[in-house]
Amino acid sequence: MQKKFLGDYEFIWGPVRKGVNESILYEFLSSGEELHNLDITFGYKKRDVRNVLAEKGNLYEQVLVVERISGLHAFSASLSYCLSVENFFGLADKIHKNLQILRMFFAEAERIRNHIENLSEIAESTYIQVPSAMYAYYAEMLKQLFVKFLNSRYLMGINMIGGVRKNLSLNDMEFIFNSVKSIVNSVQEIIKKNMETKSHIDRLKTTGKIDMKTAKRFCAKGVVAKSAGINPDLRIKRPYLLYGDTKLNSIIFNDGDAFSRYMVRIGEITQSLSILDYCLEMLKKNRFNNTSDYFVNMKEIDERTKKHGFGYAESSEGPIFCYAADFDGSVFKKINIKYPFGNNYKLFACGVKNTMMMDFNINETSYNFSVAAADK
Amino acid sequence: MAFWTYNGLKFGIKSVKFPKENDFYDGFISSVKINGQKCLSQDKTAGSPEKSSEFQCRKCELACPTKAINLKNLAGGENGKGAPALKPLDANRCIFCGLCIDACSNIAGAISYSKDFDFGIASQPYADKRKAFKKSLFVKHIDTGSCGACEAEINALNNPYYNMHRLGIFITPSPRFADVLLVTGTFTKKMSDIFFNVLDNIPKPRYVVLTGSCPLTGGVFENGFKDGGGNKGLLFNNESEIKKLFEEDNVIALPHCPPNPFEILNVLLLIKNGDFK
Repeated sequence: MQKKFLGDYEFIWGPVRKGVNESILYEFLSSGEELHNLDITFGYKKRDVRNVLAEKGNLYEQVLVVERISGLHAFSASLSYCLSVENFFGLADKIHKNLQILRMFFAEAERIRNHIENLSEIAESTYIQVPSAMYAYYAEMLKQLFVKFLNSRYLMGINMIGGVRKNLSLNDMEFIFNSVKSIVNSVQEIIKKNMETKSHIDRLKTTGKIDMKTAKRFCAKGVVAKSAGINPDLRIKRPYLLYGDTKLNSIIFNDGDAFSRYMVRIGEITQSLSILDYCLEMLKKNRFNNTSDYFVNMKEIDERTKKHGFGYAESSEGPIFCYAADFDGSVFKKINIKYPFGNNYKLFACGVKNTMMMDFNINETSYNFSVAAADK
Repeated sequence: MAFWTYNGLKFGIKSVKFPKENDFYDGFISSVKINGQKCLSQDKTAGSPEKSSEFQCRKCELACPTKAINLKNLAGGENGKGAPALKPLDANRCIFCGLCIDACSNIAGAISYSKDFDFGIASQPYADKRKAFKKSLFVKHIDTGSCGACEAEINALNNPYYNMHRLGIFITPSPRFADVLLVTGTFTKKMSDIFFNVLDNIPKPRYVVLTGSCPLTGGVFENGFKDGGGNKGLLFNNESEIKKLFEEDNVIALPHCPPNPFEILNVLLLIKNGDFK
């Protein structure tokens, strides 16, 4: 803990906090308005994921666990796991293009949903309840759309080794795209009105500011890094699936404050919609019919050619890396999954120093942490 | 702010009519059901299930990653003898992965998703069956090791679609004002003392709702911390404190991974209206 001066006091918040939140312990040192120091304690939610994964009976059971490390990033996490396993088996080139496009489609749909939910939380943290409720409503509409076609509100159970488990037709994909497009258009209308709400924008600007140097020192990831002028987006830097063909532009802001993070999210919603459009066009061009037509025959898997497999996917909050090794014939006994939140939490604890206590909630919300992913 | 008030009014009422009507959205799932008539698990020519020497088909049982299916119970249910039969699908373990449905779809098509609220929520003994709360219901949430999806579903109850406030249900920051404790997560050792501390601060009468597969059976994380007792959840935990909790408190099991907001709302309404039987 930092040195205390006259008038400074310490207080703790957590692990059980107000509202519906994940368990984490914050220890503050404050002199009233100004926050001098923050210590973050994890470990309340450890589920021993590594051993749980090693104890599973088959590869798909491992997918189910990986999805549930952080439920809000289920698709991205399972995608990075599947890519690492496919890399291990030398399947990466055998996956049909249409299946790769489907995976891109759902990864971007998950990103849109997470960003809209975060916009709702940010609006709530600045006490403007009406847009917050509107964003939450559209996020709910997206979840209902997912459950209609995929039987899961959080895109769980879709990825599998060698492709996508759910059987979808081109008509389904077109319907999903048109619905997402209409939801995003409605969200953009709210965003437009929100940008004219001075009390909202003023509270975001200069809040929780971090500079590029600090962001680099803590290896900031995802939205946080992009808001501080760094572009670590794996979809652009090291394209996987068919992201290389999409010619994405980097969405970068330089101020490093909550407003920049907010703007990155807004930019990414539009960008993801354009990727969905690209995916649908490609499916039409490739005469996509049914998902089941493109499954990889798992019996054709070559004998083990590598000692380990490696895969990654860019989730809404940053990259998720997966390393799989020690295949015993049915499962991988060693799986390491790295989420972006570990680095971002360290940066947050540093960046929050000497900010206003009143802005803590806005600052925390703009990072959109998942404690479950950092505390697995 | 008048601008947003106007826009809010223009946005209109988006809430569902539930619980007055069961106007669930397309694709709503509340449970998985096994149709005993279609199921090929027993040799139906043998007359009664007891005479059937072995199971003909057990593909769903073998596919289930959480061991939620036990087809022997399907035989008991069909036979209709004695006490109420155990269900072939243990809802407390089911995570809605749909592997059983996939396994059965090309064989008999006996397993399907269902819209009915039939997940045995009153499976635990209740100390108090009267209507405990006269007016609104205040809910406190505690996370004991979840993935965040259950929290997102509980938070969804605040959005205009479910709008639980219209039904007099509110999330409270303090356990002192709470009537219900919603528990999510695998019940990690580190959260155990904190859970009982929060529970002690909730005045009686109170309800504890174990939300999701994780606090019930550990869900997919059941195999974790084997040396330290395991992520077994609460249902099959033999610790004296937890046994006492089941004996003295009104504990309700709300399964699935994650439970749908409609299911959570349904349980909270049952508590509020004193409709548990």
